[in-house]
This record gives sequence, C-alpha cells and structure tokens, in this order.
Amino acid sequence: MSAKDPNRRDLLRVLGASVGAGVGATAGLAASAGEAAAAPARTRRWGMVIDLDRCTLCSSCTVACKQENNVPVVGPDDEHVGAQIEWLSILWQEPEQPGGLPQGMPFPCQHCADAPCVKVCPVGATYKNDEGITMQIWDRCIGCRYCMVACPYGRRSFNWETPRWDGTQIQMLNPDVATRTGGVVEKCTFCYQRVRRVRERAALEGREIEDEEVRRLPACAAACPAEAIVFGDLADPESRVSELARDPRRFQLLDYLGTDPSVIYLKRDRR
Amino acid sequence: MSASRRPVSPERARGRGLGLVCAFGLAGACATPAAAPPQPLPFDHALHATVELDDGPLGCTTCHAGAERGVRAGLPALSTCLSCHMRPQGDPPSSEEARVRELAASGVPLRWIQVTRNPGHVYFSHGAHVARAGMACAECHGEVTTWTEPPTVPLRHLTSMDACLACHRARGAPTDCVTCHQ
Ligand code: HEC
Ligand code: HEC
Ligand code: HEC
Ligand code: HEC
Ligand code: HEC
Repeated sequence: MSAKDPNRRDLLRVLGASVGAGVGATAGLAASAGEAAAAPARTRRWGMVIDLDRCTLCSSCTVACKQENNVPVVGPDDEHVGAQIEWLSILWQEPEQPGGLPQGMPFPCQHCADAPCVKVCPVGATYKNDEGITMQIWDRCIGCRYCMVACPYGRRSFNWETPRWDGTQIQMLNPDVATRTGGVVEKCTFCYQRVRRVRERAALEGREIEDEEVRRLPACAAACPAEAIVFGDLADPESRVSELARDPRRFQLLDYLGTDPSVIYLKRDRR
Repeated sequence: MSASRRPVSPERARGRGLGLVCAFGLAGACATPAAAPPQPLPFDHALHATVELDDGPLGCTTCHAGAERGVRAGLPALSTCLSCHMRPQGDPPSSEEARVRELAASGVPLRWIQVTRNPGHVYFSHGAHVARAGMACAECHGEVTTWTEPPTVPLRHLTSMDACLACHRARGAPTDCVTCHQ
C-alpha cells in the first residue's frame, strides 16, 4: 500500500478483520483504483535553516506556532506533566560554563527525508508528501502512538483529552487549521496551510512560487525578530535556504541516525 | 416566470428532501420529517437569475464574491441585498420582499445557514476549480438557477471524499491527502 494513494479500502484492509462490520460501510464508498498520475512540475523539498548564532532564545516562535496552529495549552496540574502538546518548543541545554548564558535551540519537527514515524504508522495517517513534508491527517489517526515511540526527536504529541476552547478563545482559533480531538497525535506541518495559500495564489496568477514569498512563511519564521529561521525549497540550489544550508556551520540533529532532517541548524563552534 | 416564482409548498419540499435522506439509509431521518433550516430571509435563486442589470444578468459573484477566485464562495451580506432592496422591488412588491427592509430596520445581523458544508478538517477551494480548472458552478451544484427556495438537504456528492477523489483521479488533479485536509 502506498500512503499517497488515498484508497480507503486499502487503508482499512491494513486494520484487518478486527475492525469488522463497521468497516464495510465506509469501504464500500471507496472509489476504484486507477490513479491518473498527477505529474508535479518540479520536485520540491521544503526545509528550514535555523541560525543559532542569531537566535536569542526569545521564544516568540513558540508562541506564534501555538497561535497559528491552534495548539492547545494544557493545564498546569500534575496530571498534565508530560502531556503538553508541543509542535515547536525550545530545547534547553546546560550553559557552556557554570552560571553562563542559557543555551538552547528552537526545536520543530525535523521533517526527516527518511522518517521513522512514517514507517510505523499502521493506517497511513502520517506520510511524506510530494514536497518532503511529514504530514499527519488528524482524522485518520487512531491514536496508537507508535509514531511517538519511533520519533527519535520526540516531536509528536498525543491529545490525552479533547482540548476545550472557552468563550473568546474560540474566536481566536485559526480557521485554516482544524482543531484536533482527544486520542489523536499531532505535530508540526511546516504551517502547510500557509504553503497552500501561496501555492494557490501562484497558480491563479499562472506563475511559480517565488523564493522571497516563502522565506519567512511559517509562523515561527515570520515571528522571529532576529530572522534566525529561514524557510524554503532545499531542492532549489538558488533558494536562500539552500544557500544557508551550505554554510560550514551547518549540522543536523542526530545525523548519525540517517534520518536526514529537513531542518538544518547553524552554529559556530565555540570550543 | 410566474410559475417558478411561487415557492414550492412546504409539503412538497419536505417530501423531496425526505426521499433523498431515505435513499442514503438514515432511518431516523425518515421517521421524523427533516425540518428545513430556518433561513433568516426568503430567497429565490430562479427569480433573481432573471434580474437584469445595466451590464447583463445578475451574476453569481455579486452575491458569492469568492466563488470564482477565492477559497470560500461566501454568502451575501445584507448590504448586498439592500443595494437593490432599499426601494421596493417587483410589480407589485410582495410582502416577502418587504422582509429585507424589515430585517435591516430591526438591526438583527443577517446569518445565512450553509446547507452543503464539509467538516472543518476538509479544505476546499473554489478558485482551484472555477478559475483554474474552468469548471461551471452547475457541474457541482446542479442547476441553481431553477431553485425557487433555499436547499434543505446537503448535496452528498459534495461532502464525500470518494466523490471528490473520483473526479480528481479522472482529471489528473492532486490526490495527496493534504490537498483536501487541513
Ligand atoms: C480530493 C479531496 C480529498 C483527498 C485527496 C483526501 N480526502 Fe479525506 N476527505 C475528503 C472529504 C471531502 C471528506 C469529508 C467527507 C465526509 O465527511 O464523509 C474526507 C474525510 C476523510 C476522513 C474522515 C472519516 C470519514 O471517512 O468520513 C478521513 C479519515 C480521511 N478523509 C482521510 C484521508 C486520507 C488518509 C487521505 C490521503 C490518503 C485523504 N483523506 C485524501 C476529501 C479528500
Ligand atoms: C440586483 C438587484 C437585487 C439584489 C442584489 C437582490 N434582489 Fe431580491 N429582488 C430583486 C428584484 C428585481 C425582485 C423582484 C422580481 C420580480 O418580482 O419580478 C426581487 C425580489 C425579491 C424577493 C421577493 C420574492 C417573491 O417571491 O416575491 C425577495 C424575498 C428578495 N428579492 C430577497 C433578496 C435577498 C435576501 C437578497 C440578498 C441576498 C436580494 N433579494 C438581493 C432584485 C435584487
Ligand atoms: C468542484 C465542485 C464545485 C464547483 C465547480 C463550485 N462549487 Fe460551490 N461548493 C462546492 C463545495 C464542495 C462546497 C462546500 C464547501 C465547504 O463546505 O467548505 C461549496 C459551497 C458553495 C457555497 C456555500 C458557501 C461557501 O462559502 O462555501 C456557495 C454559495 C457556492 N459553493 C457557490 C458556488 C458558485 C457560485 C460556483 C460557480 C462560480 C461554485 N460554487 C462552483 C463545490 C463546488
Ligand atoms: C442576489 C444574490 C444571489 C445571487 C445572484 C446568487 N445567489 Fe446563491 N445564494 C444566495 C443566498 C442569499 C443564499 C443562501 C440562501 C439559500 O440557500 O437560498 C445562496 C445559496 C447558494 C447556494 C447554496 C449553499 C448551501 O447552503 O449549500 C449555492 C450552491 C448557490 N447559492 C449558488 C449560486 C449560483 C451558482 C449562482 C449563480 C447562478 C448564485 N448562487 C447566485 C444569494 C445569491
Ligand atoms: C468534477 C471534478 C471535481 C470534483 C467533484 C472535485 N474536484 Fe477538486 N479539482 C478538480 C480539478 C480538475 C482540479 C485541478 C485544478 C488545476 O490545478 O487546474 C482540482 C483541484 C483541487 C484542489 C487544489 C489542488 C492544488 O492544486 O493544490 C483542491 C484543494 C481540491 N480540488 C479539493 C476538492 C475537494 C475537497 C473536493 C470534494 C468536496 C473536490 N476537490 C471535488 C476537479 C474536481
């Protein structure tokens, strides 16, 4: 089964007999196969460079991310410890010298080229899309959390309960991102809703997406006052993000695992 | 014109709606008649399709501004209706017609009820289909210009993943999950 072929009959077959009769009704609706190949003009690979020498750890990116993506804030009580939903957070590290400046890095999903989470998802809810983004289809997720075990970066969160949005909070929700219910795993999508908007605009105007219009596209990059986060197409050698990714200061997190993240960090070696 | 002008009787409308609902096997809906959603004002597409402006017939995008290039087609604001209905329209104006001004005078905000609607996790863009793929409204919505009153039952083929996919496959449009999911 290819996760890209949205044939629900196949998706459901994976679940096997255990789901039983309930499946029949849905599977009966599934359209027959025979995909007409939708040929993309050019293979894109969306990626991000985070320059840690520019980053001041102000954490604006984490707030912007929460607002853009309707990421729920869970309560402060003990029962919620470890149940926080994090798409992008700061990974804090020990200061270089005792009493030194705090150290850390903005830490979104790494959008690995070879993503361990995708390999373990039994229902195809998470998959690599044509443009290199590790996507998650909330409604497809059955909450087994295999992906959370597989992810070496811990960049996936589980909704232990359905988030509540009270009063005016509802008006603050972003209509371009569906809210998730309890029992669903969620993660960073590189603000796909914004990528989609740019793509539609470019297609309506009959042109290709320009590098300038995506450099600060994701909410985190747009919010960064130090312009430490740059987004773009890693497959385009001319793009700003590719240029930065060739910087000698570059490194990828846990690169020895061979996951080949699409998030590339820059940091001067201070030792 | 006078025939399509008179609204369909409530019994007939209900019967029509019920047939559809029953056809989809919703037993509960067949037992109790599906109530038409209470739209704030009467509205007749067929009648308005005959309205001529200086530059031709009244187009869909006058009231559904985003239907050609936007994501959501959008439903008209009261000010759009009032651009004509500030003065009584029709010869003679009907009591139904006067309700537009009555609502405006009452100050109650106008909120249309969208009948055919996908769940929040679905992304659908009118611009991609109308402006880019050059599709006509009728290809998906049917002959709206014959509607004499608001629809009461959602169009199942516009709220079904399989129907979307069937056309996307046939026409080589994208089938990646995130095309339609958000
Ligand atoms: C061409 C558009 C389109 C594509 C592509 C698409 N979907 Fe959907 N999907 C829909 C629509 C529309 C609905 C809402 C239908 C409904 O509520 O029954 C939906 C509903 C769903 C649901 C809700 C459950 C259900 O059966 O009602 C799930 C789960 C889902 N899609 C998963 C997927 C996955 C996984 C993929 C990719 C493999 C995918 N979809 C690709 C349009 C699409
Ligand atoms: C371009 C001008 C125009 C706009 C805009 C317009 N109407 Fe009308 N409307 C008319 C005309 C002209 C008639 C009378 C047609 C006739 O009787 O032949 C009419 C008739 C009506 C009637 C009476 C129907 C009947 O059966 O007697 C209602 C109700 C009505 N309109 C509601 C609305 C609402 C609600 C809106 C906003 C969504 C609206 N109209 C927008 C021109 C307009
Ligand atoms: C490819 C099929 C398709 C075509 C073509 C299409 N529509 Fe739609 N339309 C839909 C779907 C699906 C919805 C439901 C959207 C939702 O729930 O997000 C919808 C919803 C609407 C609505 C409800 C309000 C809203 O904001 O969504 C209006 C009004 C509408 N369409 C008008 C039009 C008009 C006018 C045209 C022609 C210019 C048109 N549509 C062409 C599929 C289509
Ligand atoms: C004068 C304003 C006006 C014009 C012109 C107009 N509409 Fe509408 N349309 C409305 C209003 C008001 C509603 C909501 C009440 C209703 O459903 O009748 C509506 C509802 C709809 C819906 C149903 C959305 C739902 O609830 O599922 C569709 C589809 C639609 N219009 C398509 C069209 C098309 C296609 C055209 C052009 C042929 C058109 N409209 C022209 C005012 C207009
Ligand atoms: C009758 C045929 C038809 C139906 C029905 C249809 N589509 Fe499409 N759709 C197309 C075509 C053709 C395109 C390609 C437009 C282009 O790129 O020129 C398209 C493109 C799209 C796009 C934009 C893809 C992009 O380029 O990023 C979205 C989103 C979409 N469809 C969603 C839906 C959803 C959701 C439904 C069901 C509610 C649906 N479509 C039903 C024919 C259809």
